[in-house]
Amino acid sequence: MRGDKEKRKNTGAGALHLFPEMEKNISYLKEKIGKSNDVVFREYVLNLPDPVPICIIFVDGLVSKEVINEYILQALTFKGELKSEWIRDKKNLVRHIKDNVLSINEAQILTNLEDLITMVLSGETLILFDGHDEGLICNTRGWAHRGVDEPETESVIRGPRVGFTEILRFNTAQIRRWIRDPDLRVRVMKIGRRSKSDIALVYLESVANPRVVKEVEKRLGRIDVDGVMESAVLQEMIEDRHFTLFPTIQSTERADRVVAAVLEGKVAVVTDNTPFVLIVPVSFWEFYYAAEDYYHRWPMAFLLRIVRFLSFFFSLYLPSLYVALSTYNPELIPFTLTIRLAGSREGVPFPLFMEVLLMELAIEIIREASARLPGPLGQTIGIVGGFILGDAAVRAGLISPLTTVVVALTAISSFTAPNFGMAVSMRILRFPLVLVAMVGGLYGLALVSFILLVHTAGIRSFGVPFLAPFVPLQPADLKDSIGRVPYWAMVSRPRSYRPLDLKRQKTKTGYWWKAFFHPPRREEKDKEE
Amino acid sequence: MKKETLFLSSRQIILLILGITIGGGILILPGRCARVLGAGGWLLAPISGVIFIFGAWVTARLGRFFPDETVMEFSRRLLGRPLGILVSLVFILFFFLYVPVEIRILQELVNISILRRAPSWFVTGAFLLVLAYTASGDFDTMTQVNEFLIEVCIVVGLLVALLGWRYFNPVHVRPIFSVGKMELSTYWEEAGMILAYTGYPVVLMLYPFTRRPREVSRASVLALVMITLINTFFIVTVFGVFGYAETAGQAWPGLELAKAVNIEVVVLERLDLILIISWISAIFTTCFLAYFFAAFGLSRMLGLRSHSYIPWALAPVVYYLSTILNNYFTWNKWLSYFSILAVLTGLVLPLFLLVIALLQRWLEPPAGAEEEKG
Repeated sequence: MRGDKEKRKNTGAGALHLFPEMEKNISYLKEKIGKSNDVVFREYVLNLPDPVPICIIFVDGLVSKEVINEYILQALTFKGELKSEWIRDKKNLVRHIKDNVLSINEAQILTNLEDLITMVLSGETLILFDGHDEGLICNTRGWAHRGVDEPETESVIRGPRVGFTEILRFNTAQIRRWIRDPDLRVRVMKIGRRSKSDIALVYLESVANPRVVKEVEKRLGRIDVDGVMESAVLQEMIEDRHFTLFPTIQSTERADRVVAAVLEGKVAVVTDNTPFVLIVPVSFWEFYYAAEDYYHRWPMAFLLRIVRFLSFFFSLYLPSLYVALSTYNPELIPFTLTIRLAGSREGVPFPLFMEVLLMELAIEIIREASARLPGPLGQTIGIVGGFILGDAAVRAGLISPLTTVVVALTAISSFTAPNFGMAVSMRILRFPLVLVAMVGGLYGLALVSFILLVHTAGIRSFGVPFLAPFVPLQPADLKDSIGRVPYWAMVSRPRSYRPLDLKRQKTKTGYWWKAFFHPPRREEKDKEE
Repeated sequence: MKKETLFLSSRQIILLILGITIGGGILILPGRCARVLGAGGWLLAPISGVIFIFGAWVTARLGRFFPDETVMEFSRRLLGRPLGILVSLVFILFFFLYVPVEIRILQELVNISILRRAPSWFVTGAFLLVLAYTASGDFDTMTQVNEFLIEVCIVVGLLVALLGWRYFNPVHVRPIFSVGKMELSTYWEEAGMILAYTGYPVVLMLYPFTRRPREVSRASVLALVMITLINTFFIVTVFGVFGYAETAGQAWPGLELAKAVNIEVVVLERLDLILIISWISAIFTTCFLAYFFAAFGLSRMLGLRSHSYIPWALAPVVYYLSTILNNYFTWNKWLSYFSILAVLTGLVLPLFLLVIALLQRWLEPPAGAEEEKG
């Protein structure tokens, strides 16, 4: 961040420079930002042999008043003896104050008025000295914030219970606490004409592909909006494909997820004022990986993943398959089931696809209602909607029981997706699929699946094929796809992301299928022999 | 011309050849072989395989002379502009005709299995829309989609064929000692079986996009070997299960095989559904690749910057052709024409062009040509 400021100092050559007279500076600043009551101008006199008027400017609420009182004002009140060497050197007074007087950890001298205003508005404190065309900026940021909580959207049974907060610095510090590598880069840029939000790029310099980093920087640099409310603003502006249902950038609240991604060679984009951090590049399947998959032992992770992928399939295809099979190809359904199906549909007034569509719509309405209502009420709606409405509809003969089962199973399956954005995409896709199944049966479903496949195969997430590692097939990356191999076999980072440093651990072999036969205990034995 | 940005690995080239070749052809192969050669019909599969392996090798060798050009460019350089354009047109026509011919097979598949009373305009029209959408995409997407689908299809197809071996009777596969009727005169009518092998001329379009042009010859020969093995395995299975006489009488022996494979499954009553879906995928890969390469070749020949609207523009023509081919006999006749085209593009023209290229090199060897190629 400091380096960033240095740069700005140089680029600001054409901008308005501080005047040597403090009065002029103050009147300029008052004109610019002084009309708001939360900006404080505190005038003061330095008790030097030759008294120097100074002015301390800060925004109330954004700064820590303790720091200003104790480490700036108190330090500037020279009670003790003054060392005379630097007092005489009036020309460099500001530098001497910074170097010898203030006991504050971050301080720097700036001269560009526009930059100074931005910094004051970000919570720093500006000290102006009469007769000097330099301003002293001290880091006194301190504002109200919430503590580190477990994220509600991505909770785990086992694993760290830390999520990000709204404060950018805390978030980058959390990542830093996990990765104490000097190669970890945290590069801050300001985006938003008016909001001037801090955006931090976090990546491992010796691992992340520099082309991806450059691409992210380039795309972020192109953004010219007035304000960045949330990382979603950035997400929509930098994603590869705008006209697609699928998100091509991952967003997460979990610190451990971001850390794992950075370790794999991805780039994280941390945005100020939101706990949601963006991760690029990402592949389609990763939206179905949960943080927990890596904290349980690997056979269990295998099961969890398979269950999740199965429910992905159900959430997308189950209603449409049900419609297609029972409308066009009942001969493919086992005989007894067909009889059941026919029996249960007796007396139902709607055609099957209408029945399914209506039920799907009802589920969507219940879901939305329970999401909007406050906590306990929301659950009530879920129960009322789910049980009572469904049961009543079946009893009234409006809906067949089998349809209820299918739709309920689909709804539950769609909840297993760890990523909300992807789950919604599947929900949206389900409706056209049911219609297609009604018109074209299995043939129509096959055709739509081709379109989906072609569409998703054409998507790139920052240069990485969206369906990797399956399309194109990358056997070395299959270690962490449908299931997860044990940690000792995960010898390399995912090749699909083309990291600079492929090796994740020191082993004899570069491929997991070979490493699989060399568990740690066996390697130890080999060494002993 | 400069090297393109996309670089195909030799695995991708193999899969592209497999993708465009494996489709409807393999389904009609056993029946036609049985009708031509009788009991020893299955021998036609490896024999044709050997011929086309040679063709693939010649084609790939020809392409290596011009690693930075497709056939659209180098044919013009070798034969002069008018003849070159004619050759390019033959290749484009070959790829283009693939589509209606295969669509006819698809129609049949859909009508006899999953959508019994579906009108042909619906089956063809919907498929054509998906095809045009796919073929208007970029090269990269094409290869990736093909890669995924064809692998799944081959695995499923082989699985079904393997399951069929429960009913395998070795007596049915006797080429020499059995007395079968051999009707070579009918070969012309059954020439469409070539469909199960052709498709490899596609390598002549791939050279500028390959990572290591040296590997292409090996890759295409390997692909043809795989195709021959797959075809042979499939035809032996069908012959072994049904016997040649029954095979000859069936229009779709492959499907019959899938129906014969009766496995007690809990969720689905019959397994042939899975085979049909995967076969639709195989036909889809064949069609979209052929369609893509026809459009791509046309755009190369005309010097257009993008091929993406050509598939949409050609869609009505394909639709019209496929309505003509609705009649089985017309379709069969067209298949025979198509097989002439296949022999032309797969054997005759590559050999001819290779000879000319060799002659040209012999007459005036270009300086440093050997180094350039690597």
